[in-house]
Amino acid sequence: MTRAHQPNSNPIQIPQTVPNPLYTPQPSPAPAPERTPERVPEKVPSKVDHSPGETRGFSFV
Amino acid sequence: MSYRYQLEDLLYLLYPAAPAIVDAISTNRRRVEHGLLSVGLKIHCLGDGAQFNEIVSELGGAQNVLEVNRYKNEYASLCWVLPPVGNARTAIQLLEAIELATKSNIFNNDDIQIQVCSPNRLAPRYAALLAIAFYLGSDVLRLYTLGDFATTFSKFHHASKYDRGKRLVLYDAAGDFDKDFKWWGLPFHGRPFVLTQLPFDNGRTDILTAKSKLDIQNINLVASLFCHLEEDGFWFQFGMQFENDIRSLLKRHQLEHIPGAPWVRSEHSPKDALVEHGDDAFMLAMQELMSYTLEDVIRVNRLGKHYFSEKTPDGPMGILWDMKTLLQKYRAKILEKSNLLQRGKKDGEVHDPGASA
Repeated sequence: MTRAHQPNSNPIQIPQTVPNPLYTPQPSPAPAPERTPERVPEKVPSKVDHSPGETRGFSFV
Repeated sequence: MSYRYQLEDLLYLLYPAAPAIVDAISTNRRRVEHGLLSVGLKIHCLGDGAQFNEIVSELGGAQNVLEVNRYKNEYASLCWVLPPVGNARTAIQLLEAIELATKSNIFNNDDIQIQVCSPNRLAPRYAALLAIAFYLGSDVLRLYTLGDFATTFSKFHHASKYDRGKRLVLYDAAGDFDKDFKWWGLPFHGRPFVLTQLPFDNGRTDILTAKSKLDIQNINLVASLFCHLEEDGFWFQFGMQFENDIRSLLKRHQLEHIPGAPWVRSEHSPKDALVEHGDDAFMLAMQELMSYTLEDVIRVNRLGKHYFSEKTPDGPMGILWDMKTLLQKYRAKILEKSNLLQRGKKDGEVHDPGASA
């Protein structure tokens, strides 16, 4: 550490080595808090008259 | 001879502490990578050097390993000259192995100064640019005083052609030179004409004060570019472009006059008849560079996360950013071209007249 100062002023300390900030690891930004997914209501068709398992449009004899 | 031991002897001693690294060094120690230059290292120990006592003793004692070399940092207790290796990666591995074997730090240690030696005496204007690129590209920026560059070869009692002054860049003093590393010559049908030896018989350009692995890599890259520019090597074009780019960089930051200072001293130095005059002129330029760089460090630290965000802040990024980008650009260009050549080996081998049949 090098001391350098003018008379009647506060001494300043100059380090002999200074890390190059381009090579100093930068703190990674904190991850954004997880947002709870908004509930999207299901769009229900206007007419639904087939039962589960039955393909609409044809049937087997 | 700067050292009286073989690299094999050193690797034998390092093996118990770092077997995998030593195996890698043994395989690649003479291998030239991507046509870049070989690397020599000297470790100046500003402490008592006790951590190296055992290895030095096993290698033959201080008389054979250390005292045979008269050159060292003025304030160092010892200067340990390591045998040159073919590439920067292996040079770094060698230091890593020594760290493990001695259980001490070499990189980023305030008591250790790493001198990185590159073959060929670069012309003073290229030596200046090498020093500037090294300083601005380092991950550890130092605030030097002139005394940091004092060596036992700074000034002899009587004027000598080996007076090297107190400079960041030093030429050799007609010491050892290992010429037996491959050299990528000018293109032959688009591929490097590989010679089995360097195209010059002696000469080195050394950076005195490296600290980190990045420093060694950067010095090797820039020294290679300028050496190829001077000696008509395969990377001649890249060397020429790099010189233009770095001069443009300095001009943008109004530092274009900096390379004109006497960054290196040789027996042919015309500007400084007295060694001390050249030292002072060099230090003025160095202080201006350090001062400007420190201002950029303060600015970057003040900007903080905004500097590194995806959206760049208004205004120029700064000299540190510019130099980092420049070095990364040329490293990437060399790797890309070299890898293309290697892939093309399947169709036609890199022309290597020294390769065995």
